[in-house]
Amino acid sequence: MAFLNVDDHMIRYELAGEKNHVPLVFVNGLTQAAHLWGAYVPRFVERGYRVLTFDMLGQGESDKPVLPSDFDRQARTMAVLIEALGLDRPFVAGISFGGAVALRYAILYPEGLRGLAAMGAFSELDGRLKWIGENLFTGLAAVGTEYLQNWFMAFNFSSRWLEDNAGAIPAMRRRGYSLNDQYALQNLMEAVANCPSFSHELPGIRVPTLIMNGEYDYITHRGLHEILRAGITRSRLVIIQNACHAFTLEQPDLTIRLLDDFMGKVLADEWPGDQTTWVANDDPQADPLYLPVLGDPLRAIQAAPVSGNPPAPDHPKRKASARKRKTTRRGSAGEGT
Amino acid sequence: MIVEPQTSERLGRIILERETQTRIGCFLIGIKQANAAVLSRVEFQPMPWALFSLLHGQLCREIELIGLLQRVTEWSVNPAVYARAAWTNARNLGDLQFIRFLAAPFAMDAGLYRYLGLAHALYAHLRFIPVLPLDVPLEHRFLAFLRSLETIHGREMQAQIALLRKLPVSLSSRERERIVGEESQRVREVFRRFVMELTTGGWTF
Repeated sequence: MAFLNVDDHMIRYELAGEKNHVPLVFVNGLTQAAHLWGAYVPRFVERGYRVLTFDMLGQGESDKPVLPSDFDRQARTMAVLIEALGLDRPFVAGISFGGAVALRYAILYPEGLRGLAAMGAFSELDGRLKWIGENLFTGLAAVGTEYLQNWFMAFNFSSRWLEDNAGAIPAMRRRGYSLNDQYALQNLMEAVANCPSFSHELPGIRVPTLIMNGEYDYITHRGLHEILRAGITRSRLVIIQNACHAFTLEQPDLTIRLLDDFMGKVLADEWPGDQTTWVANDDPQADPLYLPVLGDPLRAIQAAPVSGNPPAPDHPKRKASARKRKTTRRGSAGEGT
Repeated sequence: MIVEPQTSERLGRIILERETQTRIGCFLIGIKQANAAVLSRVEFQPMPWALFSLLHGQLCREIELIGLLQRVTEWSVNPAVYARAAWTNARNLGDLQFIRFLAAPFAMDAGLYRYLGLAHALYAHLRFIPVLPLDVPLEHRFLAFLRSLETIHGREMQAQIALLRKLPVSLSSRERERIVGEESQRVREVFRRFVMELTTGGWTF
C-alpha cells in the first residue's frame, strides 16, 4: 500500500507488474475501493501488464475532503497519479462512477491513454438516472450508508449470485461500510449530480474504446451505453448476458477475457472500433467471444409484428373465439346424436 | 484504516470487557458533554431561525445520546478505570479546544464556521465499527449502539454539511477547506490516539 500527495490530499494506490510493461489503470465504482479489483490484478500482471489500482479522492483509504469538489477533479487527480508513477499512456478501465471518471479523463487528456474501457458508465443523467441518483442521495442522507449499500446489492447483482453468495455478503457489506464515510459518499454523489451532460464531448474521445453493459443493468441502462457507442467513434458496445450493474464483480472471468481481448487487439492494431453492438458469450472460455445481437438491443423484449399473428392463449379475443368454437362443437355433436 | 491490523485485532478481543466499555462510554460522553456545553449557549443568544433550529436540535440529540450511552454501557467497578478515563477526557477536551467556542457568543464569522467544522468532524470520525475486525459480531447491545450511533451521527451531520457550504461568512473556498481540514485532523488524531491507548494498555502521548 502506498500513498501519493496530490494537491495536499493523500491518494492510496497499489502498483503491480514489471516497470516496462503496458500500464492498465482500474477506476472504482462509487462505493468501491481498490481491493475489489483483487481478481483482476494478478491475472493482468501475468498477461504482461503493469496494473494500477487506487482509491479515488473520498473513497476507501484515500483522503476524504469535507467540502465537495467537482467531477473533473477525480480525472485530474488520476492524471497526476498516472504521471507521477511514470505510466505512459495506460489503458483505462472504469466501472459505473469510475466509468464516468474514465470517460472524463479520456476527454480531458486525449493523449493520456491508449485505450478506454467504459463499463456500466454514463455521460449524462437522463430522466431515470437523475431520479435514481436523487433518491439514493436522499436515502443516504436520511437513513445512512447501509441503506445505500443494501440498495446497490439489489441492483448490482443477479438473484442467483445473491443466493449463491448469501454467506459471504455480510462480511462484504461490513467491509464496504467500514471503508466508506457517509459525508464523502455524499460529496461523490453530489459531484455527479452537479456535472452537466458531457455527451456532446464524446466525439473528442479518439482512442479505441470498449463499452460494456450488463444485460439487466437497471441503474445505467442500455440507452446510456447507446449514447456512448454512438458518440465514441472507435467504440464497440458489448452486452454481458445475465449480468446486472456490477458485472466486474459477478463475472470477473468474462470481464477479464473481454478486456484482455480488447487490449490485445489494440496493441496489435487490430481493434475494429466500428461502433457496432455485440453480445458476449455467456461462457467465459468458449468461442466465439462476441455473438451478434438479434433484434433491437435497446429493448428488453422483442415483440412480433401486430398484424397476422394469433393472439396469446389467455387473450380475451382468443378466449371468446375458443368459447364460440366449443359451443359450436357441442351444438354439432347434439345435432348428430 | 486509521489503525494497524494488530490494533484492530486487539480491540476486537477487548471491546466487550467492562473496562473497555467504560473507557469508550466515558470518552464519548465526555466529548458530547463538551459539545452540549457549546450548543447550549445557542439557546441564549439571537441567531437566524434556521441555524438556531438545527443547533437546538443537535443539543437535544447530544443530551439524549449521553443518556443512552449511560444506559447501554456495562460500567466497570474498578476506580482506576475512571481515573484513567478522567485523565484521557481532560486531555481530549484540551486537544479539541472546545474552550475556543465557550468564551464569547457566536457571531456569523470564521469562529462559528470553525465550530461547525469541529462538530462535523465529531460526527464523521468517531467511528468504532470500522476499527473492529470484520468478524466481530455486532449483535451485543453495546456494539449495536455504537453502530446506530454512527447512523445517527450521519443524520446529524447533514446540518454541518449544508452549513459548511452555505454559511454566509467571508471565507474563500480554500480557507473553508483549510479550516475544516484542521478540525477534521484534530478529531481524527484524538480518536486514533484513544484507540491506541485502549489497545496498548499504556499511556499514549
